[in-house]
Amino acid sequence: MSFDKIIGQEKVKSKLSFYLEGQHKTLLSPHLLFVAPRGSGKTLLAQTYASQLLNSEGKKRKLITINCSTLTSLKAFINDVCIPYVSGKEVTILFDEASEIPSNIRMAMLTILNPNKENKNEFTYDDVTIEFDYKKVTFLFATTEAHKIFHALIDRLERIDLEEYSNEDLGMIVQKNINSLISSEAMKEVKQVLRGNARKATQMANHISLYLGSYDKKSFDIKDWHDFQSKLGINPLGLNPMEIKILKVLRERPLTTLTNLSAKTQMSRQSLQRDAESYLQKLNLMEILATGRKITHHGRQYLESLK
Amino acid sequence: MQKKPVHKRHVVIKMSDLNKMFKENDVIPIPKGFVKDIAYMLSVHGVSLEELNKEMVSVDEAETESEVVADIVSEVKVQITETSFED
Repeated sequence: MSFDKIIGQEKVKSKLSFYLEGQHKTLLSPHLLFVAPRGSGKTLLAQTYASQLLNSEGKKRKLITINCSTLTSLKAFINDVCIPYVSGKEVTILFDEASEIPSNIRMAMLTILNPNKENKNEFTYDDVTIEFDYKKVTFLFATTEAHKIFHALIDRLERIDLEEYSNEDLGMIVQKNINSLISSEAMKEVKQVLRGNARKATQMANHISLYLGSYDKKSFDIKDWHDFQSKLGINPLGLNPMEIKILKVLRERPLTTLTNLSAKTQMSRQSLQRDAESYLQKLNLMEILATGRKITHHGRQYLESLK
Repeated sequence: MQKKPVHKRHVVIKMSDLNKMFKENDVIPIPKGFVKDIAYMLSVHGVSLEELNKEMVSVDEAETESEVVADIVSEVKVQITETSFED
């Protein structure tokens, strides 16, 4: 695995390549925290970085990926992760969904990652003492919710914030994952509905391949796009039906409270704020004022275009 | 401590070995899922778990107990993926 195969994220790739160069000479890599929205490729980048870290024999180190939502106790961390995979071994540990790390493990990580000249720390639990030599062990963390991670732990990590994907990057991701040709006109439309999300671009490529395969086609043009769009119910700008419903509710009055919006859409306030409103605001289709929610001129135009 | 596997989810331990670890008056937290079985077996010998737990379980201790139980129960659940990158 190498960074060349990853589209976009040039600054991040350049920073990571710099760390890798250092690791290949000194065996030391900073412990990294990858932060980005869902579907941006944090885990892929972290895995690609890990795949290039070397051990003292110049061979590639093993990667252990932990789904942090299953990491429930310090005892489990020591017994299931540290003793079998870290003690006396050379390894990279990736904490995926790192915001889910329980507080007692977080506190243990503060000791384990405490920076010092020797680049090693010891951690004792019950009667077991484990040595963490940074020349042998590198910790990587990936999360969408950096604010949920304890600040003292963030201080011990090198933070890698992923950049937003441009429409061009997303188009390249789609094209890379399809073996057929997409016309530029069709590609322009495809890019518009990917919501700036790299995972969505990969999913879109898979759907287009499926469409082309089922009709025995070798290329995808604008006519195919319209047919494909109507079959899958894809809305302009990639909005989902709930987001369109929100815009329609907002159109009814000059200002709407969150409670009212929640009652009319049958969605919880939290879900509205977390899942629906942020994308509508990003596209400037609605705005949130101190007195309530409001549809914008762009939002009205969008609803008009659906007719 | 001598252990002998009898089932993929169980190991057996000699009582004489356990006695080396615990004293007569020690109190051992038991995961709540096992309480019914143990209570039934002890009742045959005229021992009740209830009396001891009424005396002992204050709010703070209940919290500690649930943490210990969580610790024991969670041991096998960590989802780990191992990846090798050898050429």
